[in-house]
Amino acid sequence: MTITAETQAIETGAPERRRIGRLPAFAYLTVAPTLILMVLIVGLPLLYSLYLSFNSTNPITKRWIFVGLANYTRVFQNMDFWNSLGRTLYFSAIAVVGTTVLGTLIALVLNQRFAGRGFLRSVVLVPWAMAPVSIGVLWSFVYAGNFGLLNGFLHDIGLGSLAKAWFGDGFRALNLVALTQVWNQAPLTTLMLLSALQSMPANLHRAAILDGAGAVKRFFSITLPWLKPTLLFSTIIATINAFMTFDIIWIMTRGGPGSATTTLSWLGYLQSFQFLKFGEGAAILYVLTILSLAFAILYFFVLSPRRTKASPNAALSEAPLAGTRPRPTMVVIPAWKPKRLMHPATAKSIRKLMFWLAVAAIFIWSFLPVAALIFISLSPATDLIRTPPSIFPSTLTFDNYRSVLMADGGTTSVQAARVPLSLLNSFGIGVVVSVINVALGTFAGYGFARYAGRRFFAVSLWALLLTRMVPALTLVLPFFVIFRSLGLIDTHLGLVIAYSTVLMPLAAWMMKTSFENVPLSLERAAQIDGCSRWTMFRKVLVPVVRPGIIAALIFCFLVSWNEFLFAMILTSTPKTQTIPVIIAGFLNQARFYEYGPLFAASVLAILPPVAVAFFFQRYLVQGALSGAVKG
Amino acid sequence: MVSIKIAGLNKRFGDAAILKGLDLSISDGEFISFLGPSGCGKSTLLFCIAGLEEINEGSIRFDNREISDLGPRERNIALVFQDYALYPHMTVRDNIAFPLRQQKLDDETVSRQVAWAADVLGIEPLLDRLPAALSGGQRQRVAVGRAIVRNPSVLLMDEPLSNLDAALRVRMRTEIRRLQKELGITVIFVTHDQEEAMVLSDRIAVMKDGVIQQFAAPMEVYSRPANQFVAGFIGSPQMNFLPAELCGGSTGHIVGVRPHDLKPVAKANGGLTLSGELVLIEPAGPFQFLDVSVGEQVIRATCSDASGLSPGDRIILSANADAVRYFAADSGNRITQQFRETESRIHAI
Repeated sequence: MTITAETQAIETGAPERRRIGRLPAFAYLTVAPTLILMVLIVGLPLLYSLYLSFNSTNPITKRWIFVGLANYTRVFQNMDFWNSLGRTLYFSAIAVVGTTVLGTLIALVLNQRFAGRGFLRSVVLVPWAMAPVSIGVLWSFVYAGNFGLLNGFLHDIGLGSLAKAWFGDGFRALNLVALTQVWNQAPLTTLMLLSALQSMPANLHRAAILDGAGAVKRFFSITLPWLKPTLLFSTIIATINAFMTFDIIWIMTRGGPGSATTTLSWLGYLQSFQFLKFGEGAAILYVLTILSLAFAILYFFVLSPRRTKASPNAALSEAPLAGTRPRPTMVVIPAWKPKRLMHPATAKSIRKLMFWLAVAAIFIWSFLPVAALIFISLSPATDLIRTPPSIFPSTLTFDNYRSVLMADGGTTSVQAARVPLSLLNSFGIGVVVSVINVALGTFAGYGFARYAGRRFFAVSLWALLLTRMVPALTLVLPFFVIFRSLGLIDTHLGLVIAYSTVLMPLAAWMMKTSFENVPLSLERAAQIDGCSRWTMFRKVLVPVVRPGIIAALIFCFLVSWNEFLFAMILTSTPKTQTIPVIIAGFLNQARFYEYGPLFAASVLAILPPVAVAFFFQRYLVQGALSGAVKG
Repeated sequence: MVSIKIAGLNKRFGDAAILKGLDLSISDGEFISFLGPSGCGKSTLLFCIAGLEEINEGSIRFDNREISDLGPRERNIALVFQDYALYPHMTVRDNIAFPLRQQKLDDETVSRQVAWAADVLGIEPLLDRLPAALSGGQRQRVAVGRAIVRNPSVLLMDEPLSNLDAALRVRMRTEIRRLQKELGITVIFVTHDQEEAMVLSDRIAVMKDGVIQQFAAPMEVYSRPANQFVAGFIGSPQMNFLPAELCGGSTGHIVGVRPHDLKPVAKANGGLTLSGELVLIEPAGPFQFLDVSVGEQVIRATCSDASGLSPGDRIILSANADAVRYFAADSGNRITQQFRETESRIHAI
């Protein structure tokens, strides 16, 4: 009785105005597709792989036995695990320090004004934009035992005695793979720091120059503190990327020699896909996931704004009143005498020389390896096995391109004949997956940008970002098992689904950043002018964020184009294989005459990224600055 | 064109009360300003009227029709934004035509109406440009054009002049006033610039902390401020306030006198008299401002010729009895009281 009475009282007490504080349904509709799909293609598979890690599976009898934590205990008792954990940490430390230091130095140079800066910026981006598989192929050949580029170079300059099998020594191999990781990842740090440097108020440095601070002093007391938040962010991104490094290990060393380059991700891959011990593999990958998540939490902890607890009022109120305070008097300061080591003109020309040396070094570091790859692809295959090796091609030829691009390219290589179809596959899947995810991301990005303050949106955005911290390997295992039973293995649809796990949060995040830059008044004006929310979205907001949409499309396409892991595990025949998989396939059939087509295919694979780096640089930069991590 | 009646309007953001039980009545065709410092709730009130913010309690009526549950598109209002909010991807023509297109009017009507609006504002040569190619003043005109083009019931303006430079601001405000007279439209104008409000409005609603302090004609607000806040907010430079003790020993009063009414005199001659040391002379064109230290306070006065004065002089300031205002020190409300020299003693002296 009382309850009825109360209900009535409430209903009469609050007439009509029940909408207050409630969000329009449109807000939820924008993020719903993304969130539902993410639960389906990321949430459930992750739960499935978690379940896998508690089971022992037999690949032949296909029987599952629930074993609880036994997989984890077995993993922890295995010395291989601890060794590869150690290697992972060592590899990550080298990679992170190298990436951060080198990335910072490059950013500082690129922040100066000089002729050709725009061009150099594009060049610097190439190592980051190109597919890890191509990077692996390139650097494997640089370090290759008998005929490698490095050995060839040493012979050419008369130091042939120093030539050696660079990957012969395990520890050296680990360091060289880490160096490759640095080569690949440093540009990302550079990009982030460069944007932070450009947002630094110019008057800070002007003031410091007038105050008499030299370049070094200014770097440490002004630039570095300004960069600190960005540096922390980029360091954490570099750490997570290093933990997850897989593609270049697959191409360059496959965990060898012995197990010298077996990191956790490689060990997890071996257990799952070589030995088909899904349970144990899943357990290892979950350890890696937890390691990554620990850093993800650090990442959020660092990113969230710190609250300053200092209260300036307290200090002020303690100061004695103006009337009772003795007036301070001026101190005599010695006359201003700037310190000088050498004549200003000399110092200036030395500075200039140093600067251009740095520019040249950056250019060589970024461009020379890529140029070498292009040169090899234009050399006759026989050049690659000359004795003694040399870096100078005997003649230039398009034979390699002919054999991978033309049906009767005069090659007997089966693999080369697969290249054209794989390029088509990569292109088609890239287009489809980018369009779908950017479309979804445009809606979700709007919801997340406009309602970030609401708990539902804040929490789901965090969840979305957290999925980006999960190594792709953790997902590929459940996908493999689930797709096998659904018949999705070796289908284009399977790859589209798999790529969406990476691209959906990426697109939503990039579009969120775009929508945040649209002034709220534009939306209000559209509502005043008589638009429904849907019309407003379609006629006003989408045209306004179009540059952001293009950036997201280009970025998603690149990520999809470069992707290797999903494509390798979830495809099995040339009808669906993408170009990175075909390139990797060359390495499985190590016949020397196939190296030519291999390099030609690798160059073809880096064409879209290089084109984007040079012609759509700002879109690439926008993607990188939205916190894009290549998973 | 409508009359607007707001009653008992409450608006909260979470726990923070932004508007506290506002009542307001605006007649058809009036030019009304909401004036107040930033954070006083004036823009929120405007957005509530526009339907961009929902209200917690109270009612908003257009011509006696309750509209507080209608969305912005059902209210037939127009709003000129502070940043103009022109659609950057549309030409000026498309921007102005946009509200008409949403009403699904035929092309003929749309183009005739756009031509009319462009003519009224003198922006025909700009019609095919994009907003990015316009100057600040031109953007402002386009924003006004987009607002008037569909004959709104009420034209709302949210600090529309604050992004313009000083000279242009003065020109545009004259133009807005002319336009309002010409169209006979009801305008609500939000501003923090008291001079703008004084020049433009039929009536000004002075707001502070979500409460309307006074709602009256500009000269009424200026010469008979409802309280000390209004007296201090309206008029530049600010009114001088001095603690006072009325004759008969009743304390807790504040005396207010505007700098323009306070002048240096040779000797006390009735009215309010203050004496102090001249600290600073500020030339302001036709007259000079004098900063005079009276007791612990610095009082501002004016004089037309300061040639005989120099900082450090002791001077006597005087104001006519009818220029003096009284306020209760506790509530700040103005007290109607005739000034009698014999009765009151200014503390500061």
